[in-house]
Amino acid sequence: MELTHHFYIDFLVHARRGLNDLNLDVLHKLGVMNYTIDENDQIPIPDDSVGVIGVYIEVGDKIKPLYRNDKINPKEDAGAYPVVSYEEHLTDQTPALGMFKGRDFIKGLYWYDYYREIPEEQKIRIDNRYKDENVIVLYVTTPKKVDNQSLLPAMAETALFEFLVWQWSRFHADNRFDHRLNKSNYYNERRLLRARKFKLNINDYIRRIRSNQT
Amino acid sequence: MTTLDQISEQIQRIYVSSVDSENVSPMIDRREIYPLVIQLVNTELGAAHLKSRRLGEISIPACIMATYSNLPVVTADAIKYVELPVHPIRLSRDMGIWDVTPVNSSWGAGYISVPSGMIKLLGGLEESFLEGTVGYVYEGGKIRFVEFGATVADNVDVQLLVADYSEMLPTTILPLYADLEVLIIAKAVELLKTGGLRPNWQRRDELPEMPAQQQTQ
Repeated sequence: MELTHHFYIDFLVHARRGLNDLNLDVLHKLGVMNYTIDENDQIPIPDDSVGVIGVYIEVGDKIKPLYRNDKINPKEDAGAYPVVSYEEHLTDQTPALGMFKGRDFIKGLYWYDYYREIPEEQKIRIDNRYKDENVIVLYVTTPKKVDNQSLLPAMAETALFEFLVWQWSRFHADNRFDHRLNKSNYYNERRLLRARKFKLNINDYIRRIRSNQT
Repeated sequence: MTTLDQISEQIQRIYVSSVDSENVSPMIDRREIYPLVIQLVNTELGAAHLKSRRLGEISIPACIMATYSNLPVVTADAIKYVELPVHPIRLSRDMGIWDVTPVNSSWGAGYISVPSGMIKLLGGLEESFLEGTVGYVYEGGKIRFVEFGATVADNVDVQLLVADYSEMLPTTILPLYADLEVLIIAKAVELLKTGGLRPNWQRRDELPEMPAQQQTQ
């Protein structure tokens, strides 16, 4: 691929599209917000969120996940369970050794805190058995619109290059049938980038490719 | 390497020896061949570029690259442009205008080529990407400048891909790749022999009559 500056604007447009694609799919950034639960047991979904990863409570210097449960009542106060905090649960209800046996073994250790997303209201409903006041929301942020100040991470350069090669063969070269191969090259690079970013090992990567092929 | 005069003499000799001297006067002035050679150089180098693009590469006919220095930028009706002294050859993406730079600028300081059909789309769409740069559009013998937040210089250097006949003497070395010289000679002789027309066998009125269609019953 020999290029001159006469192709600059075309490739600028393609590079913007490619970086937008990577930002949306692979290079997304996570946001963390700390919210106080209101009187309706709800917290807002952040405005720049495109998907909530999880809701957590703070326990000491760690966070403990709440579990997603779409069956809890989005509006009403269920009020059927005693209101306790996590620490109270641990201290008061931790079973004595040998108290729960057999199929009841899990009961004493089970801590059911749930949340439910209500996307039409941009709210998250927290299970009202939860007594603490603050929760932490981890979410995927809206990708920032690419402009001339955008930075390309070094690990994503190869993926963006493959995207440009694909777009070049798709729109500009005379033999446009090559673009299928270049497209698969780009998708492989994108998978590799995703594996690198999330620190998967090589077995995870191979498994991911195999699962996509079947 | 050959000069304009040498290749014209070669064309003249081959033409005279090949023409039917009993019916056609073989006399031709060498000065008539000079512009023909230059025109063929421009044509064939453009064709060679297009052939290379078909193979997926971009081959620039750098042998005809000509630099025109210190051309003044004129402003008329808030449009800044520079008059080109000569039309370049027709290459894809207006590559005939190889480079436009401010006078005495360093490498990499050139202006950005904007495809002619794209200038209307750039307003507001890609402007943020081109902030701080100057683009140019090739419009009818002029280069029109488009300022994206930067200002164009008062005088510019322009590099064009063209063999300029007005700059050439008979003793000037012809700006042509060595492997294309014989192609220029063959094309020139063919053109002189046919008088610029197609060969007779390609003419419609010289074709043999088509046999009448058989009536089927």
